[in-house]
Amino acid sequence: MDNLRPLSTTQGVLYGADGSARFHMGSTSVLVSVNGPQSQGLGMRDEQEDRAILDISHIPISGTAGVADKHMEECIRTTFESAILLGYHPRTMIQVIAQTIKDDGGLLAASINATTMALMDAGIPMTAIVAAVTCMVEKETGAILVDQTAESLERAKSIHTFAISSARGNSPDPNVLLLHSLGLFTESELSHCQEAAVGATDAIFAFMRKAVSKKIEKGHQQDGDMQED
Amino acid sequence: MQVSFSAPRAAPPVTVHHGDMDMDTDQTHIVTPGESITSDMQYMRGHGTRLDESSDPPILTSTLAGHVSRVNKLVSVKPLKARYTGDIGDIVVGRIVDVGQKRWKVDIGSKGDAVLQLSSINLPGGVQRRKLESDEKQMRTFFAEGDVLVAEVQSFFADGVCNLHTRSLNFCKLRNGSFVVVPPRLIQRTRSHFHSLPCGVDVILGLNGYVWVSKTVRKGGRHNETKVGLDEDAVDAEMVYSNKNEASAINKDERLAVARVCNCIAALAHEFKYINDTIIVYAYEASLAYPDVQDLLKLNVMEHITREAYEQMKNA
Repeated sequence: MDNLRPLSTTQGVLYGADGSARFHMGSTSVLVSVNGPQSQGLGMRDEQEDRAILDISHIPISGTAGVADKHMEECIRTTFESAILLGYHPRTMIQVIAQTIKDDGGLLAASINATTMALMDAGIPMTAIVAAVTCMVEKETGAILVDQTAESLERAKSIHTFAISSARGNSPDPNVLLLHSLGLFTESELSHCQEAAVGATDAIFAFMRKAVSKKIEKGHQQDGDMQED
Repeated sequence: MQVSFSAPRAAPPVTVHHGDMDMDTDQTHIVTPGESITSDMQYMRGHGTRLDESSDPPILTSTLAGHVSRVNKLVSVKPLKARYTGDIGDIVVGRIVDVGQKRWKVDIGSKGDAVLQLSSINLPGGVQRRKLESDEKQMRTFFAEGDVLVAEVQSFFADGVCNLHTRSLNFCKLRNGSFVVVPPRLIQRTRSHFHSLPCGVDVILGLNGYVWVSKTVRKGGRHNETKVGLDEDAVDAEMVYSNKNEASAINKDERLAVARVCNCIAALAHEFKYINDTIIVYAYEASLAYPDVQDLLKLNVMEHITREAYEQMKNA
């Protein structure tokens, strides 16, 4: 997909965490660490008997998390609750910490993409991978634009962030896990945005799969031939 | 402070597979969550796989990012790294995180903390001794928070929590050394996990990926092979729960040897090689080309000693 800003990602960037990843969409960049499934700390008693709980923290560039960050945490949590197989690890917690490195538009989408990469790195079972992208409808022209910079988002009539699961089954419709919209828009504008988002997330899926395969192939080559001895 | 930079390495070429794969070839298949493995229903679903019933016909999909392994009809996906899942009889190295009523909680790097019960340790005064109320009150004198120990997985509770025991002379509190963490996948199950290396260093390879590297202790402790019977228990028990390093101070050379072995293990883990006593010895020998132990933290040196050790391993 040519409309996307350049993507780049690195897995396993943090040594202390079970899984971690950095994800760049253009100059927007997020670093995510995943710990778990693990037992919760002492005194924390909101564990669930039949599933793992997701504990998400979204940390801004400076200062403490505000309302916007709390809102993003909630968006990320609901998105991944439907993608992670939480029932596999009852009475545990999966902790996700997303640190904003730079926000140049589409921060929520970058956080979701980084979380997907970090969860894969941590070996957390999921039904599918999740990719997200921000679309906007331009005020002047009414054009649908994908993955824009903060400067360009200023000119938007409405902004929509889609998180889409790679598992579609046999249904022709995309499996949208999250839709986060700002501004005024019509139904047809939204459906056009969704079409654009589906195209963009397909490109992101391909990118993620390639990045992960590269890492696993390398690791597997290194220990694989030793196993034969 | 000395700072050094090394150039990045080129990544090996990659082939990506998609869709229904041919299960009969020996090729490595790499899958990501949600990717289909096969629609052939004759296969059994192993770890890391899931039957996607929403599609028609149902397909076997992966839930992890890893490579597909097939043993006869059992298909599973093995991730590069995952948390340790215990098995009964595993030797693990762990750290005490909490002292409770009649039990300790031990971090063994698995999903939840493991439990070590007061009734599953050897107390001073011999194996046959009964546990008294006074023992319960002085549990911290046996193991306190932060202590590192080696134990065996005895059983699992109904909720999957791991139950450890240290009722053998091999299992004890660990002293005189350093702690290294490697991915659990790199430690293979072997006959023994306690190794005495020729360089005067002992290594305990916990199956949970926790490794203890220490100076070889000759007097008392678990290395005393000559004494047998009850006498040994009595002597050991006093020693086992001591919080002090060996009486004769560990000298600089011994410390350096321990640090060198630690760095060798870290280098092998960094290069993602299986870790066993033989390859550690080879890596140690290769590392002697670098007199400064801190040199072993450099990426190119790590790569060099790992490659050398690996070549030796293949020729042996």
